[in-house]
Amino acid sequence: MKDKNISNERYTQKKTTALELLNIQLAINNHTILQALTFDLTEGEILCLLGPSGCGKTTALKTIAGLSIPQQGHISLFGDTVFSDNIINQPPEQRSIGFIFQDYALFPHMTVSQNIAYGLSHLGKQERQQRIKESLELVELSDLEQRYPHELSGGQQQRIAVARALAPKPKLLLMDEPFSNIDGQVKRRMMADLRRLLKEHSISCIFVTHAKEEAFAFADKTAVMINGHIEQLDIPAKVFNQPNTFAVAEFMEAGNLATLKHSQQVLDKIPHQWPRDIDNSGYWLFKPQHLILSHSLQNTGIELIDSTYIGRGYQHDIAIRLTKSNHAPTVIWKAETETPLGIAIGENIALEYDQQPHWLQD
Amino acid sequence: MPNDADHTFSNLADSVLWVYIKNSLAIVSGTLLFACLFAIAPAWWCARYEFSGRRYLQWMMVFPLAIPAYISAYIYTDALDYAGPIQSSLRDFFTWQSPHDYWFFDIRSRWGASLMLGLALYPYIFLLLRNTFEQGSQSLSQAAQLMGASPRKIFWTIHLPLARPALAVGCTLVAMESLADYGTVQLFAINTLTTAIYDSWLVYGSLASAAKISCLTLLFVITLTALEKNSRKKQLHFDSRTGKTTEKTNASNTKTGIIWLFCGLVFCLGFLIPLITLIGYCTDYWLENMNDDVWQHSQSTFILALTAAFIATLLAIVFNSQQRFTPSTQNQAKLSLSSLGYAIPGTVLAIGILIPLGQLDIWLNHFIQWLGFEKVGLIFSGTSFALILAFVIRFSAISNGSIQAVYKQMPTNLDSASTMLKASRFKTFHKIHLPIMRPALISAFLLVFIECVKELPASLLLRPFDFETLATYVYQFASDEQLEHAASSALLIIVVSLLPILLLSRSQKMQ
Repeated sequence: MKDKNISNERYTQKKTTALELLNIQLAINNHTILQALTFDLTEGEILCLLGPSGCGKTTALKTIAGLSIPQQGHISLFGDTVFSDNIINQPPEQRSIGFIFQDYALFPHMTVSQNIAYGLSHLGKQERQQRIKESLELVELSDLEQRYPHELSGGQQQRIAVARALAPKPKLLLMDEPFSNIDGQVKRRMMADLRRLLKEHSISCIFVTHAKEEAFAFADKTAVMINGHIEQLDIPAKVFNQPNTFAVAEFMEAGNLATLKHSQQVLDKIPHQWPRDIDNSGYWLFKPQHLILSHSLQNTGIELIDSTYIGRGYQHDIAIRLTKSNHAPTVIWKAETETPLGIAIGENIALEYDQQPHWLQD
Repeated sequence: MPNDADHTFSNLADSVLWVYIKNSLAIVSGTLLFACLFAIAPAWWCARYEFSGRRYLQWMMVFPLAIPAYISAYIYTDALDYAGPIQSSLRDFFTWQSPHDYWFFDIRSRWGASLMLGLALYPYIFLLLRNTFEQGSQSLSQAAQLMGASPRKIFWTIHLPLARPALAVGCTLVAMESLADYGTVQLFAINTLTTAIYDSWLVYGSLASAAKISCLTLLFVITLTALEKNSRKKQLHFDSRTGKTTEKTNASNTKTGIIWLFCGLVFCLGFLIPLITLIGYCTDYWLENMNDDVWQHSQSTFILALTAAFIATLLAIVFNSQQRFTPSTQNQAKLSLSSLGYAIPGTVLAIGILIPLGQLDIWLNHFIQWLGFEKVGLIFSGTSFALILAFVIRFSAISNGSIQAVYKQMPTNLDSASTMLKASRFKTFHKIHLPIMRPALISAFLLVFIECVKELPASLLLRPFDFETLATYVYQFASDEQLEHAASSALLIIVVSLLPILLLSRSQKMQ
């Protein structure tokens, strides 16, 4: 109850900037990990750092926490500068950040309540007990207080890690692949629960993952990180449907990409009116669900090579020949339909696109 | 004979047995105290800090393992005794006249013996702890740091409690070794359970009484092993090792200075001073040291150790591969049984071997006499056979451990793949297992070999008449206060013992 009051107070306040990163540079052994990393986060917002493994997303998280020290840049938390070009460097324990590690980092030799109490040593005994109780209620695991981490399931361990990170009431919560060790249904339920919890208490949060589904389900905004810098930061739907760059589109598996220069033959096969006079290099993005496939008796140079059921509908692989010749090289595209196509494998196909494809600059 | 035996034991029990037990306990706990003192801080420094020379220091700290405690004991007694150079020069300097004028640390005491054993045995704890500290999950200390804990608090509340199981394993090893020690305590004339076994048999000639004291000693060993097993069980749950080495913090200059000062002192006391003294003895008494005896004894020691190492390794291969191909509780029991010997003190083991082998000899001689031939003598208990048997029983645990570790890491799918490709068991073993385990085989063989060369208490009891191993040869001279004359043999033992440490450090460097 007490927490609810606090969160209501927070809601009525004007949204402030929770975190600001400016031009962060970090290299280890002359190998650049983060370059010109810049973004900010408003209070209560959940941001996902999404990217392939090795793109520097975990390092970015540790840099914010103060566990990794950049060579250059500026970090401020709720208006206070915590790092600035190696002149100011507030140590991690003073930044009041909650951190949930990929392996949860629960202290194996301490009980659940000892784990939670670890960050509360500044409180009096009674207040500490109260806070432990509240934190466990928050994650609905009140009866597990005296258990050891090895006596808990993976999902329970994750929730204890959440309770431990939130108990000292941090200003910002950072999570490093928090869902990667949990599978299936449990994961989906847990993401929903945790998201509700963060929103109720207006806790700002950054989490790192390489799975775009997690970003869609959990984040308000998604930042796609590639090679140490952010390629695109936007709401998840926009990043998925209108990627800024080829790298983002490819990582998000956003759809079929066709270059203007190299795939004129492909584009010629799709009878639709769209500006083709762009002379810059770039790509057209065709979303699989907007491609319309129909059976053709003519030799269209497009052939159905496989159809599979994917739950929400059907996915079809089609081969598009780049020249008239039967032995010409092909590109493989994907299309999706809700109902079966009724076209046999190997048959010729005519292709249409029911909207304006998305253009992305190279 | 049984009457005599009962007498000996009840006499002992009435008079001095309690003192012996007290001495044994005091030496075990004193050794543990010193070993922890020498091991814990250096292990932490080497695992968590980067400082100049760390690579060398972390191996230097293991070197004292190569120096048998009785050799250090002899050397320090020589140096610290009333007539030794240190007290003499103190007396000269302060113009003291007699021992009543000043107090000086008496090395020939329980504390002295504990210090000597602590110096020789602390590397066990050091190695285990360093490994645990190094591989501890970094996220745990980062989590603690983010929750506002100071480095000191993190050490006391996270790292040390998590290393407790490893510490317990190391302490058990040290406790068992110090309980089994014969050389040092005998040299210092401290009566313990181990010396009591020895005296019962060799001085009073009572095998039965020796056996009774052995059982008493075994009781301690069993308690220790139970404690160790219990802590290993906990280690499973508390194991936070990630297999990744934690990043090290750069140590400040002051810290580097403190580290080198402390570790350097331990290294000098445990290794450098004894080594230099021995080299000094060797050059001073060059002729006495370079006689034919030395070569003869090293030859016989090496042959003995090679044979025992060969048999122990072979047995380990047979038992382990059997368990691999046809896992059963029966085969597992064989394996566990063959590893049990390591926990049994050498003296106890020797008595345990003497009794059945002696009986066997009596039967054999009766049988041969019955057949109408001359007596053949003590072929089992009176030859190298008994010694080799003792070595194999005592050190099989080492070869077993090495090979078991390889099998544990080798996925069973390899065997299945080999079987699916129509390979027989023998072919799977020969073409798959053997090549993979070759490095472990070599190190198992080497380790057993070295332990055999160093082994003292069982060798003293079981060696055939007029037969010496290097260890017994050196020990005889030490107990006659003439180690100077056997310094070359002592050096040979040390060089052989250093081999595995150097090999280990090289293999880690390559990784």
